[in-house]
Amino acid sequence: MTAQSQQAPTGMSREEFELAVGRVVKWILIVFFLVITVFPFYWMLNLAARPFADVLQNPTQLLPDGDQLATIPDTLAAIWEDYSFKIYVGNSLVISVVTVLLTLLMAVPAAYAVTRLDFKLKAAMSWGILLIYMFPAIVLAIPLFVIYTRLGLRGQLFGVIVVYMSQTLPVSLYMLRSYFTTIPVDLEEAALIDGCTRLQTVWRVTIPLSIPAIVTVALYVFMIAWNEFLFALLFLQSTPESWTLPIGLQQLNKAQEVPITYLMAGSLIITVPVILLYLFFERFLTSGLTAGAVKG
Amino acid sequence: MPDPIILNFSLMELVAYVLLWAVLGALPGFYLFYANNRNPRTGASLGVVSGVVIGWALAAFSAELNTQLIVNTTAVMWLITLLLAATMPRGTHNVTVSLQQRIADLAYGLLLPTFLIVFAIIIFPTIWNLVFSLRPIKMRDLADASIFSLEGLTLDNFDRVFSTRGGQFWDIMLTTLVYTFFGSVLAIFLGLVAALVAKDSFPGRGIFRGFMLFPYIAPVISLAFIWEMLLNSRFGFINEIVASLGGTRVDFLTTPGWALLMIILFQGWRYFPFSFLFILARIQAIPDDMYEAAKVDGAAPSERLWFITLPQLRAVFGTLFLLRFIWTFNKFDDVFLLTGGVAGTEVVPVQIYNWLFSRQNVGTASATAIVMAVILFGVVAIYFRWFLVAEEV
Repeated sequence: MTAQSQQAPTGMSREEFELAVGRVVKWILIVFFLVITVFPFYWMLNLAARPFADVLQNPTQLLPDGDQLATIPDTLAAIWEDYSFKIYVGNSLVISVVTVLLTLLMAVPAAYAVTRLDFKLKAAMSWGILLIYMFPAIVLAIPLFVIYTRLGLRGQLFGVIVVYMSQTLPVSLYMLRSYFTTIPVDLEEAALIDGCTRLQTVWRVTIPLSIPAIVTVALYVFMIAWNEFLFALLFLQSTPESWTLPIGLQQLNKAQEVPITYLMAGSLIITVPVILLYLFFERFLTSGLTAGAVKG
Repeated sequence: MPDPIILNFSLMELVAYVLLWAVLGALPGFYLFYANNRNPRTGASLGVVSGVVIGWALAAFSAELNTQLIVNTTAVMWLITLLLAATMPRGTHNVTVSLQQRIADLAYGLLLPTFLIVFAIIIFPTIWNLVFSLRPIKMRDLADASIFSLEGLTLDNFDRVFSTRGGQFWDIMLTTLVYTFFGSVLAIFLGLVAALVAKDSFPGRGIFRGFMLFPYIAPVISLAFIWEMLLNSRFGFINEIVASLGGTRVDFLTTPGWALLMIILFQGWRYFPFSFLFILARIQAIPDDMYEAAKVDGAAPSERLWFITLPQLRAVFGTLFLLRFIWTFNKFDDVFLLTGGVAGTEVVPVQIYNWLFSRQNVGTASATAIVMAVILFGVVAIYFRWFLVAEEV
């Protein structure tokens, strides 16, 4: 207000002028960002609803009509059965859920050790976590491909799960550690004095208090495993019965005669669960992201 | 009757196999002794010894490395361990060692599984990548056990990386650097603009913020597909708009020049939410007093942005650029799915994949990966130096 009162009374002050321009620019940008983030996803739905012939005739038809929308369940049913998406969804679910459970099983105790216990290699651990976080996946890909081939692990879901664990453990450790440090030590010490062992303390005090962080880590690990492409491609490509959703979809695309409608319906099947999960747990996820959760 | 003499294993394969059993044996040994109040380090050592024995025996009597065998024998081993744990008399380890020692023991026990995974999936393969890069290995050699050996080391693979196809490696490296640099800058720039828009409240700001994350969390495969659809020259929405404005339709993803621009735009679009959240968090931490003071001094909104907000964000820009640079440089899936590396968009990770699967050359693929990692390390080191100097000024 002070600045404005110093301005000459004639016309608009620079402050007022810039604020007015800023408001207009701001709303233009809001629309711009909404279009670039939402429209592609809407278009996926649009193309999954309209038959390809119709897409070719009216490429820019923004709204599918009611009859076309009604075909979506049939399209989904077709790729679910005829293109084996039920198998891919099953594989993706198994891989993601098992990765989440095993990662948590390892990361929670490890994060507790790094936060609360004293040992010689503690400082080295922090550096190690950071280094692995930055490590190029493609450098691991070739030797792992060779080792897996030799061990007969290629084509087995377990092999992929182990790799996903190695990719998500450092991040999970990092996130859990930063949360554990915010829990007052007094609470744990009280439990120890009351006769709990260390492990009982972790189970009864630390874990219940860290549920938000554990949920965040679980969601991130799930999403990483659900979305992962490179390792699944390398290890599962040659065994169709163990394809995950991304690989199933990519291979479907490689088979030339598959209609675009089916490809888009497949994209919906893989995208919608992630979007729903995100919308449901948005608060957890946005805070986790700035804690350095996802690499990519 | 299997031949008791180890014929099917190369020496290195045998060493790796026995090493695996040693580590697997250390785990139950450690926990068994810890649970019974005995010295877990002794338990781990005993576990290593018994693991080596089991590993050697299995290697000697089995015809091939076999996952089923590993799974079965591991299960039996852990079962025996459980039985032993139930029957072994408790020791007096806790009275004989210091509290500090016991805490350290517990810490190592809690970290052992993580160490094991990191060793098996990150450290061990990296060492082998180095070995493979020095040996003339082709895809068909994978059937042969001699793949894990240290014989016939040569630099031919590195020669091939740099020399074949008319020194194309450096072209690809240049493409990778251009893609990485502009992709990172665009991701940060878009993130900055979105953060500036979202910093003050407006109706629907929460929803706006929620939508911003969509490109980042969605699976890359469906994002690449929808871009292909939008950019398609026959029915793509973007091409329709271009045509309706009087332009000519372009095959954006297969035309040299356009294709590189597209993968850069994709990179900026898909990853700006990451910078958006970081920058927004930092902007909201800038104290209001600074703006108030500048306002009193007569600074217009544009000047407050230029002289207060942006300088305050410098450290965030530095960190974001470093992270985005490293991750984009290593990125395989985005380019592979969007263009497949055609029309001048072949980046090094895609080239590595092509060495492996199109040209079936494991050795040269490994060598390319090593060269890529070394160059990335060099660039990051230079950046760190430059960045640290810049921060001191």
